[in-house]
Amino acid sequence: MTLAGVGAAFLWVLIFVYSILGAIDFGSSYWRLHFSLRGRWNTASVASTYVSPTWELINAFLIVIPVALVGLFPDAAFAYGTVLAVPATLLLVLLALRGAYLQFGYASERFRKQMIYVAGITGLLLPGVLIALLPLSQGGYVTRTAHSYALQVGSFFTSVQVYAFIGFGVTLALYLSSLFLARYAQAAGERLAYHRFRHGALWMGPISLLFGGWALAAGHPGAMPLMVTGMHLGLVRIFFGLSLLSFVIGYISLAAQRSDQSIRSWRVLLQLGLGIVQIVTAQMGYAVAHSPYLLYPFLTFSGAAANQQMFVSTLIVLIGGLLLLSPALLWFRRLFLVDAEYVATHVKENH
Amino acid sequence: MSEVLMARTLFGVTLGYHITYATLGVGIPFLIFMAEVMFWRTKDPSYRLFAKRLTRVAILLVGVGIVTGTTVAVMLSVLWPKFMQVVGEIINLPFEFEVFAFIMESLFLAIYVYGGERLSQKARIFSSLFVAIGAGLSALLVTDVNAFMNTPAGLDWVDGRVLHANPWAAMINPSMPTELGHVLASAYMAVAFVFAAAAARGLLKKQATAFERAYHKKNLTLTMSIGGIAAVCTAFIGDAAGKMMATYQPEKLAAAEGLFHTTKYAPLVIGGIVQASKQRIVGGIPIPGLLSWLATTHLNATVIGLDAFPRWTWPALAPVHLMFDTMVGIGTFAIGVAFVYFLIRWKVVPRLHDRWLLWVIVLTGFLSMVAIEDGWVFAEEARQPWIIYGMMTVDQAVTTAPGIGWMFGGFMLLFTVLLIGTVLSLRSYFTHHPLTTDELVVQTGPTPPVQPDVTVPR
Repeated sequence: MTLAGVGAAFLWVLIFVYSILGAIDFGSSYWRLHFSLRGRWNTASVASTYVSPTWELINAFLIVIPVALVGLFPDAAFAYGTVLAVPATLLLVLLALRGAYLQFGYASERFRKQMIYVAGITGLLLPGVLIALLPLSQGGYVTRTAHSYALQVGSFFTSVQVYAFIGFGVTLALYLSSLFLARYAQAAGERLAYHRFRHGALWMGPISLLFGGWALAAGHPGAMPLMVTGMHLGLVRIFFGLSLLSFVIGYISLAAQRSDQSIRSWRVLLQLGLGIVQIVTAQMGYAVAHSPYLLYPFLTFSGAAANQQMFVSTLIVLIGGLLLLSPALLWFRRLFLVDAEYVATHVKENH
Repeated sequence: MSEVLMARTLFGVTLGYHITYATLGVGIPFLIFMAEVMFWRTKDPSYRLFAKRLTRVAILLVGVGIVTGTTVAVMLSVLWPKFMQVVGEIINLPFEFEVFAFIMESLFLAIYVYGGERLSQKARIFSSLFVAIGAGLSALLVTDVNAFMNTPAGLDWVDGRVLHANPWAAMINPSMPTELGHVLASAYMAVAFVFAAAAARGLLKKQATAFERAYHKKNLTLTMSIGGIAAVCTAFIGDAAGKMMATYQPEKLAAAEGLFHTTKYAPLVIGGIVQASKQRIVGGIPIPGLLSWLATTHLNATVIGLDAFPRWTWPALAPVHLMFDTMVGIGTFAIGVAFVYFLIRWKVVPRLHDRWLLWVIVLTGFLSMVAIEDGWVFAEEARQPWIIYGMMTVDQAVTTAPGIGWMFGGFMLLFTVLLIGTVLSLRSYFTHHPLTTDELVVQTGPTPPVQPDVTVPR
């Protein structure tokens, strides 16, 4: 693999980690709204116990991606920066409202209700907005002028393919977050909440799969042909096949869980684990099919890469930084994610 | 409005807005850390209470600051794509480090706040220290990119391309030490004075209880000493920054001081309206030789004037000079206030009328935030028309994408919502949680505080 390829792989890892963290974070906010509207306070509380301490960290992680893009592939940062002027505004407004209202709601009672609404609605929309970058990168919506790029705003916002991706992003986030919250609820000993999230996952799983298939199949004039890239095709097929397989096994395990049965910890972990494997393998398949293009057909990995000094420094700094921070991240994880006592007391507490 | 002016205004307002939150977000964690240390040393629960109340404010402001910071990060790429392309080739390392400082800050803030009763006093001091370090580093690293914009280094700029890039040399550019030091010291200064003002305001309340008075007095002394020390540091570093400018960015110094002609015994003119057409300052108090002395420590040294530079690279002179003098003036005033406060506190001079001084302290808190904003606008305006000094102008860096007007409207609306929300939620919190001895009892109980009633109502 070339150096540019290594950089692209690293960038892919960042996007992949964020997509999982973000999906769980955004989806959880939606589930909180969903269950508090129905008066299922305990279930809503499981979601909010998770969202409260983690959202800032996850939001901080989001910043790593554009920063890495600028340092590794400045030409791609330039192209995306130019093209995304207006869509990024939409994204920022949603992110900003969400972040701010989570803070307002924390600081004062009078914002609590608004907070649940704002965080829930933005949490529902944001995965869709973020994933819309994928069809954009597949080409057909961007034109290149002499020194710059331009987005065909009309064709982008009226494209069926884009909406298929948006639907996929939204439903997948709900699926993954319900799997995660089911595990969180089970750790807290909240049987009822576990089953509610399990039901959510049972609904969202197949819907997200349908959207995903549609998004891959839906073409667009000028877009890169994902499934016919010759030598990669075998690899792509294997990854997508594995993804589908883990979905089927996980889904059967979910569906077979009867509500009068005792809930086994390993089984719930397996359900969540398979959900994550499903997404990892699907993303690897997509990444292989998408390479070597950062923005089809204008920018490839090697064509957009920074000068070697910057490229190498960026890789060293980012990887080193993540390694250095890992003890703190583990402490954080122990305090808020795997400490069953914390989860249980905070869920039962009168919020 | 032209596209460039619109983009500049949008970015300026966004940054100006972010800087308020960012400055408070840098300073408050430091105050929390100091309050935790004071609690550990004195065992006086009043400091614990101060830390708790500060944490409330920090959570809100740091949170909104993260939001506005995210906006700034994305907006940089969107409004100034050509600038960011160059950043990516040479000065992206500070941004990369900054991300980790930022993650460290949010991580330890979550641990400090949500860790609640599960943390020991040592863990509290440790985690609040790391919040303060993370916040401080974030600010410093972002400022480092600005330092590069003022005095680019570590590259050859040939035909609009970066050649022979040395990202590490770019990071350690000539204005880095002074600019970073100045930003950090002034943030600590401004935030300490803001909370000194809050304490003074509390003492000015006529119906304050004895408990409230004692609480505010302790905080006033703590914040005034931090603010006073930081203000003196700010002044010294500011002076060093002036000397750095005289060597590496003489055009900016000349613009700040309204010096048109390269001269020996250059005078320092305080105030006055700089008139580019007449090439002189109307009004203002000239002090002969002082500018030479400040710039080089020699009265007879030569200071380079604006005549050494082509006219089209001059910034807007009149506002730049006034903004510079306002910043220096407020800083000097704040040092004076801190000095007088401690003279009275230590009974060196007889007690003046207390209320008078308290009102002045309230004013200082407000002015110190004005100085922060003013200093930033000065630093950016005085570099115009360049975005990277001597390399790229703002006109060259701006986006070609249409629709900036829409963005402008959207963001103004967003910032208004955020500002109103911030004020309302802070007000609502402090009206519902008045300062009483009850809170103190909770504080000293077996399970320590800052235990949030997080999350949502049932």
